[in-house]
Amino acid sequence: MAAINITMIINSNTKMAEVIIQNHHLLSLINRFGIELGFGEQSVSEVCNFYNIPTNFFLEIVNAFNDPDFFPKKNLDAFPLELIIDYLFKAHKYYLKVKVPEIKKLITDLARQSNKNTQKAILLIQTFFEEYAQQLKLHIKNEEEVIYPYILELEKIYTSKNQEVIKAFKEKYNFTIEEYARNHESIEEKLYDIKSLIIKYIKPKDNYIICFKILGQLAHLEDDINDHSDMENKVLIPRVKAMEKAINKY
Amino acid sequence: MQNIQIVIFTESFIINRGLQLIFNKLRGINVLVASDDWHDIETIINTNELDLILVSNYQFEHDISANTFYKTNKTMRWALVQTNKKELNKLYNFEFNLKLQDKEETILKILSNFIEHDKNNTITSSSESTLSKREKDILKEVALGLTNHEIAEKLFISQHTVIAHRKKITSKLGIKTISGLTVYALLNELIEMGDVDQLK
Repeated sequence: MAAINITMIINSNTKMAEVIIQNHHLLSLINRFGIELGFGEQSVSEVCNFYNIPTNFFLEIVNAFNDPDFFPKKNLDAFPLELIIDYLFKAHKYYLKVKVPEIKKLITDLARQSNKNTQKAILLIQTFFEEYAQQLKLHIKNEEEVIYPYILELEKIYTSKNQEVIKAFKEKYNFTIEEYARNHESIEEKLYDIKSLIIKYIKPKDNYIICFKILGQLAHLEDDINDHSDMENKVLIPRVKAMEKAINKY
Repeated sequence: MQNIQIVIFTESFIINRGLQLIFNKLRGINVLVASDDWHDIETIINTNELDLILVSNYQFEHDISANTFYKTNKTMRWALVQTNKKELNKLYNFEFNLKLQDKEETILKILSNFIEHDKNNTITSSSESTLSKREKDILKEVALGLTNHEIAEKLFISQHTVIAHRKKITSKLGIKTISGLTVYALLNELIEMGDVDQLK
């Protein structure tokens, strides 16, 4: 965790432009909500209303992103999990459709321009990143096709108290969120390794600019994925566990 | 790089944030959460591998769940921050003891000392970051995709020893994943491109 940064707390009256100016990383976040630039002097709530986004939810997410020590548990509890999952879906799309191709292209550029001395290292890192991207894709696929549907259905039935419904649900999904939570770390570790391998073993005499760009993009993706996992670990999983506990009485 | 994972649990937001700020200055220790609510701490205990709980004497005495956890869980380690003058029973066992009037350098010294002598500590300085012959042997096998069990059989050592070596390797190189170690082994010519099927 980074040292405590003094971050401005964003509220509904803050100008949307100010939000982005003070932390440009939030650009990718507003993009995820479908918000486009050019909002002039409009406030956060005005922009949210225009795009039909619940302002409170937007504020929670944006503040959680902005402040590494923000612990959103208490407030995010108030939102339906559907909203959170919809956000996570959008983040996934951004990783796979925007971020990963961007980094792949940069690494390809680097490989193309590299000389004999660094070629081997770059090729290895290229393969490593491909492997990472593949793993990320599978991880996301599993979340979207198995985990999220499980959570959404659980959210619908856990208050029903109807034994038949609960029994059918348990038979349909034969697992608990615990199993999923356990193998949730390795994806972040790979990204960390790629970054440090580049820093330690590539000597890009002629193309250091591309190298810097790659490192910047990797760090950006890493931060984003960390926030994403925080959302899952601190918000989603505890709530799912509580719901699981509720239906286990039946 | 295995950081010591800790949580901070005192009754005061100001103290929590302040301690967190100081702890963040040190390498080797990581504050997972600082809170005045045992529920937050519990969440972390349930989802993370936690090494130490830094608790205030006030919370330790007044929070029943925390106190019960201390008594029932014998493996968790604890440290104390003294937020009021009341002395705790000497029978309680704490790794270190901080006081509110401690100067920053005193706190940093206590913490560095703790990190350095921690039995789980695998942080190494760059002077000790070259791999030994044995570690290179192990790394080769890991990079080739062998499991701990297979490596143990092949090199006639226990699985436990393999794991210990692997921890050491990871901490020396700062590389956590098998793919990362494979790239390292290839770059440093410990293994040949043709040996690997993982990285094609």
